[in-house]
Amino acid sequence: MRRQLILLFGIVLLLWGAADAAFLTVVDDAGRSVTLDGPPKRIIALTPGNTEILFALGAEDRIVAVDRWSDFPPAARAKPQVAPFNPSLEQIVSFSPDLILSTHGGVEPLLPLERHGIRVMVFAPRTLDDIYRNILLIGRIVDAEARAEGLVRAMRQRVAAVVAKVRDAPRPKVFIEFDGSDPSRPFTAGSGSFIDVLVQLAGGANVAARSRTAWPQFSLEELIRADPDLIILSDASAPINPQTPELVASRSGWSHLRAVRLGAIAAIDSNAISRPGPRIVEGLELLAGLLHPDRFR
Amino acid sequence: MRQGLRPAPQIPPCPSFIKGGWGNVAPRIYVVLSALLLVALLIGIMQGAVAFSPLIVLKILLRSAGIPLGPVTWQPADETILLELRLPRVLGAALVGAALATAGVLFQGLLRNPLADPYIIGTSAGAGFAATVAILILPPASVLGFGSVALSAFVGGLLAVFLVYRVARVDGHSSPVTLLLAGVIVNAVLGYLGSLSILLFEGSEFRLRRVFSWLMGGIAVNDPGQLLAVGPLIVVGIVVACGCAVPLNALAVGEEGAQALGVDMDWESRRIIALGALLTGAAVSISGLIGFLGLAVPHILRLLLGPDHRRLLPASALAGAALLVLADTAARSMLAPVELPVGIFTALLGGPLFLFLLRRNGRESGWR
Repeated sequence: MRRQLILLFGIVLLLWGAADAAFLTVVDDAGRSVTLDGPPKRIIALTPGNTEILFALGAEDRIVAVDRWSDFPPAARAKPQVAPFNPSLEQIVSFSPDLILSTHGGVEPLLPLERHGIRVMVFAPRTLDDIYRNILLIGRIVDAEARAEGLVRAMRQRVAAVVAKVRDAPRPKVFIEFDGSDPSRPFTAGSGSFIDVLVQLAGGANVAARSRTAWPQFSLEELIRADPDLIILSDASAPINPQTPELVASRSGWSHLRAVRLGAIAAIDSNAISRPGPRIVEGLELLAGLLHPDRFR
Repeated sequence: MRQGLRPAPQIPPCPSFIKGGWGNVAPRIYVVLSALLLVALLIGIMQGAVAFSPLIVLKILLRSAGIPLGPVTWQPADETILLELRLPRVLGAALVGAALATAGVLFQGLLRNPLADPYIIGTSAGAGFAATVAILILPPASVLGFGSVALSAFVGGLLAVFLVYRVARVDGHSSPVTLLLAGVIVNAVLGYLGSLSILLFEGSEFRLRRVFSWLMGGIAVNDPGQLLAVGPLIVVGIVVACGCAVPLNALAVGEEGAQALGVDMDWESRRIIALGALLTGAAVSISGLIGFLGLAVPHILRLLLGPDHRRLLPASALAGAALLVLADTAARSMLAPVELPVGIFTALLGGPLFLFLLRRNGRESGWR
């Protein structure tokens, strides 16, 4: 009798525990296991990519604040903003959020907030598959699973369409300039960067793919040796000293590049190819259009 | 009358090398250092993202001088790389290295402080702040091949040194301690203003990498015309600096001692500060802030040659040039085609050598 009572008590405890159990436990990109007690109602998105995913999933009502760089869609600009470097914890607490979506580098100062029941997740995707996974994950978190699945399916289709179009095309050599304000060693996107992945999918050969860091300063000597077919300026839309094909041509030593002589210099919206969100497929289509103008339109 | 009651000031015995003259300057060391510099230049010209054999280098050089030697066995791009990019950069590294090492000797001697380096009395923060602001807001203008960042750095460095000099000057006299402290204070204030400007200016995140890389140093000769402007300034500066050897030697017995030896310290310190600031500013305008070299090279040479500035100044210039050419070659080649900040390699090449000599010489640091 006594043993049965203990057993019954144990079962009750178990059931009680199950009823109170986590709504969702996820492992984020920093390898941290984060448990949510219920669907978050007040979210702070600290990267433009996270903001764009939340908007695309129709969860904009749950966003209470965004970082200063979140400028898409235009409605995101109406949200209260949080400073991007070292955000004030007091300001963040004042929004009484229950979930913060951040990325590597910005998250450490926020971790103390977990003691106050504010969950912090790190999303740092490195490939397209990572982005799909994050969209599906955020879909589960904000209770928009069907919408997330539909979005990812559409993205996969558009990527597949681009890949199919460029499959048998010759791969032009391309140099993507990320910051050319030091023309003797411009910053570019090397292997391990998102942009390098996009260039491969778009049917291009990134001349900086050989570099072992993601955002290297690239040797002008090597650039002249590699002599790319196309130079793409992602710093043409930079708020400080935006670069133009004319400025590139006037740089010392650059006039020897075939792309400069032939005027094969194009500008691209850097946000489209660098934000790990739903718009990344637009960036891919833009890149493919620049690399293979004959196959697109 | 009261003055007559004081004991006569104790004049220290005058070491022979203070008396002046250029005897006993050990020509062998210059032969060795010149050979080292020549080897460094050759390695620097051959190595890089694209490597050339000595024969190809020779052929391209002769061909550009109008003496074609044999058929063209290289790609046309190689000519551009060697003549327009590599050669100016190697020469630029040699000039910057010589200027920084000379300025290091000048400031260590004048301030009588083993921790002094070319940047110590304001240049680093003055140039750093000006360059940061230029990177963040100025359009890329160009004068004599220098961009707005290089020009701002040059002017900012000189202004900061002038500010430190004026602040430290009390009753027409500036002591080493006040100069050092004023330098530390101005460096701190301007350094934090630089950080503040990064946080304040809209869109600065797009240029953070560039600011960071400038502050870590890297040889950038974007226009061979830059060498025509900086080269004479640095060469003449080093020659004039060698003329400061005797007053610097006299300073080894202290400021009063030097005065007693007939050295006009006010005039000399003004001349040495101006020279050091000009040399450093010229260097910074083509290299950003390269650390450690201007601190370590004078010490390394002092450990090898002793404290006589008549040898120390020219020898440091040669050794500094060789060290920076080698460091820049490593920065270009190590992870090619990725360029690394050259400051990393000045420390990696100079640091172990410095430590080895320090250990070997035991208590005798060559410092007096």
